[in-house]
This record gives sequence, structure tokens and C-alpha cells, in this order.
Amino acid sequence: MKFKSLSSTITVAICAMSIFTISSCEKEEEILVPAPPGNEFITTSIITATNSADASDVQVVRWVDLTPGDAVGPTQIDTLKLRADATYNCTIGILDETVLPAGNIGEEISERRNYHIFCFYPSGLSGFSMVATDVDTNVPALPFGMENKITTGGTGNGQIEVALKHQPNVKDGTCDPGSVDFNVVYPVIVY
Amino acid sequence: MKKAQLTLILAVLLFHTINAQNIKGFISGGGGLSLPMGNITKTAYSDLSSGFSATTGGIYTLDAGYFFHPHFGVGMNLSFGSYKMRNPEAFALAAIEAYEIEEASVIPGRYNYLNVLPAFYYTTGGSKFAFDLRILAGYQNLKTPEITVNLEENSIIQKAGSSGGFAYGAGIAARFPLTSKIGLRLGIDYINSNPDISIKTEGINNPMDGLRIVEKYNEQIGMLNASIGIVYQFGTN
Repeated sequence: MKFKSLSSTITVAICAMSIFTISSCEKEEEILVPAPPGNEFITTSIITATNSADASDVQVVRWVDLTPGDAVGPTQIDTLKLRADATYNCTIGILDETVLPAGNIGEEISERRNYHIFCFYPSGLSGFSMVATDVDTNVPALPFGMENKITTGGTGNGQIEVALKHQPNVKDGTCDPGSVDFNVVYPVIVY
Repeated sequence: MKKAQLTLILAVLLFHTINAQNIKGFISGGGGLSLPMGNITKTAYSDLSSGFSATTGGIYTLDAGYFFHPHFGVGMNLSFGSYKMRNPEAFALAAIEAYEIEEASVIPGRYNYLNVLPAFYYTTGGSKFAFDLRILAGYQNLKTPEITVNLEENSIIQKAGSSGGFAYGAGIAARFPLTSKIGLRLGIDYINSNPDISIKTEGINNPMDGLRIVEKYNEQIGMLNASIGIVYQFGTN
């Protein structure tokens, strides 16, 4: 009887220790966490270009799509008209005009510049370039592109594609990594 | 009622004192539960003292005692165990918010610890039952969990860190013989330590304000360890 009681006790103890052993050897599982639903939209891009040699030559062009994500295209695309062989200091504004007053998304993007970059892809224009003049707070600092410089060459018609790249923790100063948050194309006339 | 209870307790203690300790020592091995205490169990992401430890973990114990006097002895407590993480999702959510990504995942690690604690015993009781009080002081090594947060294209890894240092505590235990040599031992110990652990974080290419970067974990940690084990007693009559 005594032996039976001892045997049962030892069995219980061994089982308890086995449970601890098994639990401590478990491989930790990867836990997937989705983002909470967001409610912000990028509806409007505004380029403001000021001729560095003529302060009265200021171009403000807008690209507007108030229903982003649907099949309906933009409702407003202005043409950027620039002088030939000139240099323009530019700023880019980003708004959410689905709300009143319009949300300043550009301000938020600027706060998150360490993993965003504006990329510019001109086409059909001779001697045309658009390059970032501002930087983020990464170490070393990397280009951001909300402030930039346009240099024009000869006259002609073409376009400039402006893309906002989202590069979470992979920003390296190039436009390769990440995904596209926002992508607009402005017609350009250099005269 | 209280007077009766007090009388009963005193009678039991007196009985065990009179029925003097008649074993020379014991060795016990077992397992149980460990309850961490202090900031190690906090889960506030922005508070760098938060340790995100679960409130309960498993523990293995190896205890020994040698009685050089009917009531006094010396011994050793070896124990090791682990704590899972609690609310590790906070690390993924912070990355989602910091980098505005649609999802992130986290692979939580575990806390692991080892206690090597010499003990000084006071014991009372006899061959049928023994009640041990002990104070403990010695060494504890604590290892923090490795935490991997997977983003869209890369990962941020808070590497595990470990540190050893002084720990102390006290405990009570009861030994119930099942045979002349073998018995059960039930014990509870409280152990306190204050490890100073350096921690490295890898994979942050674009630092953001909202991200938690712990470089040092130096918090007072308490452990309440409850264990059950098989005890081998020697030197019995």
C-alpha cells in the first residue's frame, strides 16, 4: 500500500516535470499583427516652382483625384510651364481634400521623412532634371525630395512623374526599395 | 478562536522541536511555478523599464541541505526556468505605427534564468514531517528574450542579453517522508536580484521616434518560486 502510494506520487511528480520540460522546449511562434484601419487619403499634389533668377516667375500646379482608389481618374491635372535654361526652386505639397479643412498629409510625410523619398522621372525633355535639395535625419542623411531643384534645358514638351516611395526601414537614398504611396504625372512645357 | 489557533500552532511547533530533527541532510529535485515581480512584468511599450514578461513561468529546482545541528544547517538551491513574453504584439504595432506599414509580425523569445544560491537552514520537525526555513544568497544569471519584428522587407531584432550578479532571498519548505529515505518536498522561495543587462538592437536602418530601443535593462526583479519535488533524506534513524 505504501509502495503504491509512493509510486503514484513519483508518477505525478514525473508527469509535472515532463509538462514543464515540454513547455520550455516549445518554439516561439511568429505572431502576425495587422495595422489598424486608416482613414487618410492622398488626393492632391501641388508643385510650387519659383524661378531662382526671377522671383515673379512662380508656377503652382495641382494634380487632384478626390476619389483615390476607384476607376475614375484625376479631375485636375495642371501643366507645369517653365522657362528654358532656368533653375527653379520647388516645393511639393500633399493634401487630403476628402475632408474639410483639407488634411496636410505633406506635413505628416515630412515628419516621417526617414522612410519616405520623392522620386522624379522626367521624360521627353532635353536637359531637364529635378533633384532633391532637402534631407532626412538618418545618419548619414539621405535625400527626401519635398524641396527640390528643377533645371531646364532646351524648349520642348514632356512630362515629369513624381512618385512618393514608402521605404519602411529600408531607405538607402535610392528609389529602388519600398513601395509607391503616391504617383502622379504632370505635363511639362519648357518655353 | 484566535487563541485556540495560536495554541495549536505553538503546540505543533513545540512537538516538532521536542521531536528533534533526526536526519543529517537531504537532496531534492522537482519543478513548479515561478512568479516574476517588478517592472519585468510591465507591458507599456514606451516605458523602457517594461520587461514584457509573463506573470507565471516554469521552474526546475535542485535543493540540498546538511544539518550540523538538530535545527541548523547549510545547503544549496539550484534552480532554472523561463518566462514567456506577455503582449509581444506591442512591438509589431509600434513598428506598424512608426513605419506606416500594413502588417508586421513578431517572434518573441523568453526570459531564462539560473539561480545558484547557498542557503542557511533552520529546521524543525522529525522523521514524520520537517519544516524548513532558509535564507538564500548567491548568484543569479538572467537572460532577456530575443525579440524579432519582421517588417515588409527586413527585420528589427532586439538581441538577447544576459548578466549574472548577486541575488538573495528566503524560503519555507515542508518535507513529508513516504519511506525512510524518500519523501515529498513542497517549498516556496522569494528571490530578489537587480541584474544589469546590456542589450543590442540590430536592423534599424531608419530610426524613428516611436521605436523602443533598449540599451540597458537594470531593474529590480523578484521571483516567487513554488515547487514540488522528490526528496531523498539521509542520516535517518
